[in-house]
Amino acid sequence: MLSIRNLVTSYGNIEALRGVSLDAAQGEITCLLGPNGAGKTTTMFTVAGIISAKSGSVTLDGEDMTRLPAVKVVSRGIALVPENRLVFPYMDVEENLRAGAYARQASKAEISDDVAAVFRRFPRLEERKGQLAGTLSGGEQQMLAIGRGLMARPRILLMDEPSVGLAPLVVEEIFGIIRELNAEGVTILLVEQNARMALRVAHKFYLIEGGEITFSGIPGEFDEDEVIHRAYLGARKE
Amino acid sequence: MIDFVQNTVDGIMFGSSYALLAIGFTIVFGVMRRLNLAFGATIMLGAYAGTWLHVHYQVNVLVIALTTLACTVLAGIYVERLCFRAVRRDAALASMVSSFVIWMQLEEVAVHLLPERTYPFPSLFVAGSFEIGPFLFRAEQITMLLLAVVMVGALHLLLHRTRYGLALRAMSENPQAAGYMGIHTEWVMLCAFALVSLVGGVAGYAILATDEQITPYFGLWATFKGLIAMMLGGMGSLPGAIVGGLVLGMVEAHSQWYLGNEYKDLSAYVLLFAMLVLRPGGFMGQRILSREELAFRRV
Repeated sequence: MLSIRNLVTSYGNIEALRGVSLDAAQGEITCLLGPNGAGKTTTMFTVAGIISAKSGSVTLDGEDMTRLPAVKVVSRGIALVPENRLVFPYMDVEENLRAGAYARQASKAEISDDVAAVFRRFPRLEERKGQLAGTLSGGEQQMLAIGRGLMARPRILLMDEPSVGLAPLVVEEIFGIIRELNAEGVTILLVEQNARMALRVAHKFYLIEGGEITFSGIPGEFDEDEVIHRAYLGARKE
Repeated sequence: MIDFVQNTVDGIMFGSSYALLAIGFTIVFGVMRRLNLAFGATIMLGAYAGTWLHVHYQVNVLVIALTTLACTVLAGIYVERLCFRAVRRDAALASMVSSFVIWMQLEEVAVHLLPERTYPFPSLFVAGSFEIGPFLFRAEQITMLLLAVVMVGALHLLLHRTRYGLALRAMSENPQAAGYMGIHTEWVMLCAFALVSLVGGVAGYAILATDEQITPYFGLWATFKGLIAMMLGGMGSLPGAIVGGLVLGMVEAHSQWYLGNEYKDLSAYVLLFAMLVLRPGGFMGQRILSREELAFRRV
């Protein structure tokens, strides 16, 4: 499915990614964990075409996506649900969803069908479809951001910190949604600070530290506390 | 009383063109959070191109109108390329300063094209006046008002009913997130400049055709009127631009009648001063500010 090989990305002289390789398999939730500043978001941005890679490659189903601009990446099936949700606050809920379908060359009827499908999945959004997105609660905004991502009909959904800034109960709800989406067949690459929650939904995880993948595995096969410790604090000093 | 109503009507007629000028400023500001000072000069250059054609070749009024519009749009795209695309997104001040420089440049080009102080500008397709009851209406002004209504209506539909409008509004709210949606932000911006230049070109043409003359001060004049109307209404607000333009037109018409011609501009500045002191966000700006706070609190 999504395959990242030796990805190097830098901001000026600072190398943020130093050869990241990972695979996200079809129909699975792949989770990228790591401490602050390890390169999680940079990986997402590079895959999404927001930052251009210096070297390495990103392929989706064998199709080369490296260094394509975001406009093209979205239309070829990679949608990003950004950190902090970034919904359009003065646009209503339905307009936010329609904006998510911008990159698709779809007919109005097709887009309206997809809006209806998102509303079926998130009835709370339908109740508020005429409301300005900025007036929604944090959890509802996250649902909207996810729905907006789905509107692009992605082959893979990139989710950057979906739980950030949300109350614990709402976090539970959002992870429930992530699991449901996956059960419906959506492939997800998840970046998450909340390692414990992430390990509970992930099929596979990668640990990124200092711009490099240092560890990967299948949750359950490893000591959860050890993984979580490293995800928050980096490598344990022996 | 009759005077008062007559002045109000005149004010609304002329204010409608101020509203169009303000829309040009406010859309660029709303989308980019940057001020395009060259907007008035853009319109002036377009109008000078039209006038040049009028002076040197006796062509149809329609051709002159189209030339004015086309050249205004081209000049607008030129400004976008030089002062906005070429300057980093977060360098708002650099854009403003360079747009000021381009203002000077465009004026120079216009004055080289037609070096004398005053040139005749062809009148609108219809001229003349008629009376309804005690009130006098000038046909050019009614045409101006109708043009403004049509432009505002078309803009509203464009912003709220089309894919492009959705992209433009998304960009004005969060350019970063708009990019994530696959919105081609540079293209949207270029189209926005072409669009507001078209609106400005229509406003400029209507104003000049009513005055039936053009001077090198037109760029400065249009910039002042547009900026004042935008600030009265609230920067970045489309309804604000319309309200601001109409209020400015009415205040000018009244003060011209009751206080005299020399107080016309002064009263506009006094109004702006009062607005900035009492309600710094403008008529519509305040509401947006509180909504912003609301949104911020809930996030």
